[in-house]
Amino acid sequence: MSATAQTVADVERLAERYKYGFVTEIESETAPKGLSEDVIRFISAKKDEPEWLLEWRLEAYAKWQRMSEPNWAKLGYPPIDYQDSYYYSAPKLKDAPKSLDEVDPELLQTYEKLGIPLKEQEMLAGVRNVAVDAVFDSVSVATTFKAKLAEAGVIFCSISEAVREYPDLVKKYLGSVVPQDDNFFAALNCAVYTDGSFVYVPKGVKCPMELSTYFRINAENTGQFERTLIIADEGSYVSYLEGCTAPMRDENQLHAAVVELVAHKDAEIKYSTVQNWYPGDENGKGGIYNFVTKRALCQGDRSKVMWTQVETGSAITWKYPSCILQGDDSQGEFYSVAIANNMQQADTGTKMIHMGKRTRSRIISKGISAGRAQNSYRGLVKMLPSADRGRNYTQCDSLLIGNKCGAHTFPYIESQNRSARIEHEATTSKISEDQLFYCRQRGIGEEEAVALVVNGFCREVLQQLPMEFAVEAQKLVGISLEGSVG
Amino acid sequence: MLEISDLRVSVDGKTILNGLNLSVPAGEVHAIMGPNGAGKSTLAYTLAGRDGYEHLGGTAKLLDQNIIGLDPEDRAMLGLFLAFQYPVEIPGVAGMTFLKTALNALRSARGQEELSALDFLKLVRSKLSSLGIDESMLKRPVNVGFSGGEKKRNEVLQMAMLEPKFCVLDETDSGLDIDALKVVADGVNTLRSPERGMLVITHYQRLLDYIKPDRVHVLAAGKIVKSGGPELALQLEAEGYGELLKASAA
Amino acid sequence: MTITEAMAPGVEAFRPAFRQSTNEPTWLANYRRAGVEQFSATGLPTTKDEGWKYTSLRPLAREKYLPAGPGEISAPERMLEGAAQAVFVNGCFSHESSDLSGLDGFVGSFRNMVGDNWIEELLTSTPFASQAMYSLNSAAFVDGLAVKLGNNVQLPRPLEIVFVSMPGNSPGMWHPRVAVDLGCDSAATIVERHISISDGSYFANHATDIRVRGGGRLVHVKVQQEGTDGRHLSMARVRVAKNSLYDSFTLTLGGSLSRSETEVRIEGTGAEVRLNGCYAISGRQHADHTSRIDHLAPGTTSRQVYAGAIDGAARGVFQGHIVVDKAAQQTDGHQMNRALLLSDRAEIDSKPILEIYADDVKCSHGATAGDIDEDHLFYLRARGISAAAARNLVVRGFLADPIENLSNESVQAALCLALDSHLGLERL
Repeated sequence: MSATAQTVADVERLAERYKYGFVTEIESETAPKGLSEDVIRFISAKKDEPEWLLEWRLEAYAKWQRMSEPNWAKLGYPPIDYQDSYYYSAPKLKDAPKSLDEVDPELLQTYEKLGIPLKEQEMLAGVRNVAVDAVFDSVSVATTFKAKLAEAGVIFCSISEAVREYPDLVKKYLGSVVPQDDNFFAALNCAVYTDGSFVYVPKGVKCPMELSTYFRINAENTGQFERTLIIADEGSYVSYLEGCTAPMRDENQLHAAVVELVAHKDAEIKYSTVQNWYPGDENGKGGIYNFVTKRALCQGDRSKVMWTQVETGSAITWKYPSCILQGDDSQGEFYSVAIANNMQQADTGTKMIHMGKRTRSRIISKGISAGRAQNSYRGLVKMLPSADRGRNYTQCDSLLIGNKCGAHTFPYIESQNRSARIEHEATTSKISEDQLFYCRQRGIGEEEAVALVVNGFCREVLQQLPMEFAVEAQKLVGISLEGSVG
Repeated sequence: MLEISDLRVSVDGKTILNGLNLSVPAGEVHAIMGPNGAGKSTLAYTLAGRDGYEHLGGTAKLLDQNIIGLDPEDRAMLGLFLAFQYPVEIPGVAGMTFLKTALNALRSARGQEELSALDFLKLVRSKLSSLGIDESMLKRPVNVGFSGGEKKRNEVLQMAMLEPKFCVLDETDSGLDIDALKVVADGVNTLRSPERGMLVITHYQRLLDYIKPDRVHVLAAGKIVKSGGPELALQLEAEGYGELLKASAA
Repeated sequence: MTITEAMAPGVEAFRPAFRQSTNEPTWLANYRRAGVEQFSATGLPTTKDEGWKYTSLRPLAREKYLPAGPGEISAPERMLEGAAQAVFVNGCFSHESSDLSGLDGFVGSFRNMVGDNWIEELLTSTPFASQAMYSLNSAAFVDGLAVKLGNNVQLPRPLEIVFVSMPGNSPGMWHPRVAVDLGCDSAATIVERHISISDGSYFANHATDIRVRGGGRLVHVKVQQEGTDGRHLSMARVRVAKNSLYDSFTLTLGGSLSRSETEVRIEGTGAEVRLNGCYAISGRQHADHTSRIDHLAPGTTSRQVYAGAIDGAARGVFQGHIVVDKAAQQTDGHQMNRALLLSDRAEIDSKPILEIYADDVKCSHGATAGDIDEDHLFYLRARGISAAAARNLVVRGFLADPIENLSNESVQAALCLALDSHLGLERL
């Protein structure tokens, strides 16, 4: 093969690795480039928002301007020019689609290509029993199964729709878990967020199906700032999953989301993420900068929140899904797989703040570093004086594949209660040559052997995912590590 | 079937195999015996292609193809199976998944279709029952928390499933009590066939009471110093390696 | 001396401590000037500094400390039988109370040996990053101890360095410096003791520079029994070479505010570092143990085990940081911090960090926090031991556990004795 042909073949193979890297040609409407009060007013006006929400955004913007970007994470990237990005981009729609049949076929096709069918009939025919909210760039383009969910009393819609239809709920909970000025990126999100999902599960209702939101960044030079708010009222249950992809582009794109969960008495929320934003190429060109604030308030007694994340994408990941365990006997769990390959950098972990009596938390983190990537676990476990008989168990394991990457662990463990018990363990080691050899002796190829061993390493986390997604996540683990050996 | 000629191998700069010659025809079971440090496990790992075994010279042919330099999985695809002295634990990977992945990798290399989940399960169950192994073993992660006997039975099960052309059994008796040894040996014996060759590596004669070899070779200082029939093993048992090595050195 | 840079807040209060050198060698004058500049630029660390997140130095800034002068005392009782003693009162070397017989040529007062080339080299060609309190010590030290062993020498007697605090009516401060250079294949046992013989407020800011050369073995123990109004900070910087052993233990019992910080660079293959310690604090005591170990060469080992019992409204802090450089393949690093909270107002803050850039490593850390295991208590009580005695026994066992990791048995025994007498368990 000639050198050129070889290069072409290589590039093709690479493109296959990130199979969500295509671009949808669709006419979009965008806000003027950059960030200003005017842009915020533009976004608010586009969404026909009430005055209080505009005021809330402007207030956040004023706070953001006085804040500085955090630099404590183990991440290195050139300064972000916040004026060099678009903050609003939406597919042009003649009128808002009244039903799924009216959604632009181009968009439906895009989601089909991503493996997310938005046609309810197809969904019912398949094994999945999942309602989907599809967010395309800055807006939600479709939400499925709304009627069926409504029968059960569950509200599942875009947050923009919720602002219009359920203003009291939104007003009550928006910003109640993550305050506007919680951090730099959260403040930015408050000012410019464009869409996201809203879930309300009423008292005593077990949500009849999995809910999911599929986030897609398509437009160039555009940041995505989504906002998700999930409220589980007393004794209710909901399982929610989000997936994320973006086209392959040479520039970095910013994604700064805020997710707030509120679990009332005896309520349970399961929140799963499969994050597969474009990670950039193997030389670190392009990729999404993913700065996300996720926090759950376990407000009621015996409430429970479980975060599960599989983080394989993004050039930069800065993300710490946390639980404030306020109610007595409330529980928080965090299960994480973070894979960083090539030039990716991930700094992710959790915070478990124990306030209530007999609150329990469990943290299982599996970090895999390959290529020239840097992967850090950062976590806080805090027992306040009120957390009588609180319990935490943390296990952080890191696996290194190759000798050019790094794996780091930064736990903060703080206890102010004698009856609380904290146990923390962390290990770092390289992928076992013996295990790989054993697999290969049985005829399993090297890359597949790596995928098998790493999947085994991550099993405890992957098995927490809803069944429908666990298999996909396993495949993703293998795909993310391609090219890491040999 | 297996033809080793003048094989020389070093580990960490130290020569371990030093001109080893060996020929095992199809349908035969040969035993390699030898004192500690003779190079028995080095031979097994060299044949299977483990890293860290530097090839200094010579060839090892399986069915007329030199396997030296091939990746371990490619040797497996040619039909080589190594039953490990210390089977490796792989946390989180269920035995069932592991076997299915390996079997389908081999099948697609042989140009066969991958087995469906159902056909695979049928096949596994038939092998399990013929070997008298409980299915629960495959639901646990590969070798994790297994007793010595369970690990060796798992090796035999894999051998039965993957149907290799040539088997190398590296100190299969180590860590087994007599009952477990019988069970494992029975399993191996059911896999003897006119098309299959086997190389049984062992320190003790005991295993050969249960797996009767056609030929016995004595490995010392990196080469075969004596070959003979099954009676050679008994002689070694009676006299020890010392006498024989003295005789062959003279 | 002129200070051109603008001074950070709080620096002014420590200005009286800056040493105005008149007849010191040029290198030392430069070294002190650098110390003044570095400290003046940053001032006292604050809880905004990541390394000081859990230890506030505000109490230092509030008090007006003045450099204290020497005092006379009788020779302190020995901790180790047959040990030599170098005694310092308020940071000043006391010839009268010291007994360094048999150690001629190995040990001397820092002030007297400061002309030696090895001290210049040890202090000036350092690979460590600057740190505020260490810089303050550089600017301010008056005296200290220098220990120099050539190749293949065994220090004839164990050496106790006894720092005695005898504060007067007004708050005093001192900044002693210790330098140890252990030649190839040499061995020494050094026990630092920090005791107080009168009430009163003081601030002791220690700095120690240590080199253990190829094949050397240094046992370095620190027993901190400062007075109730004593504030104690220490920074030890240690470089260890090929096949050497740095075996250290810190027993922390006293002081209102204390921090023992150790930075170790493992620069040679086959070297081993052990940092162990235990602490028993109560009342409003604050005890901080901070370490950083850089594995810079292949095939090196580090082991850290700390155990703490925290009573009253006391607060324990543990920060351990293991860094494995790209070059340090086959590193084996382990770190453990266990804390017992014995009262409702006790607090522990723990931050064990692993930062790893090589793949062929085995590194781990663990941390636990909680009350005494009820099962342990019950077992003892079922054997007829009173609740209070059982509690003491369990705490004692918990704290003494890391002492076993020390390679010197007579030092082990001495540490157990010191711990027992602190816990009131002499008769057991």
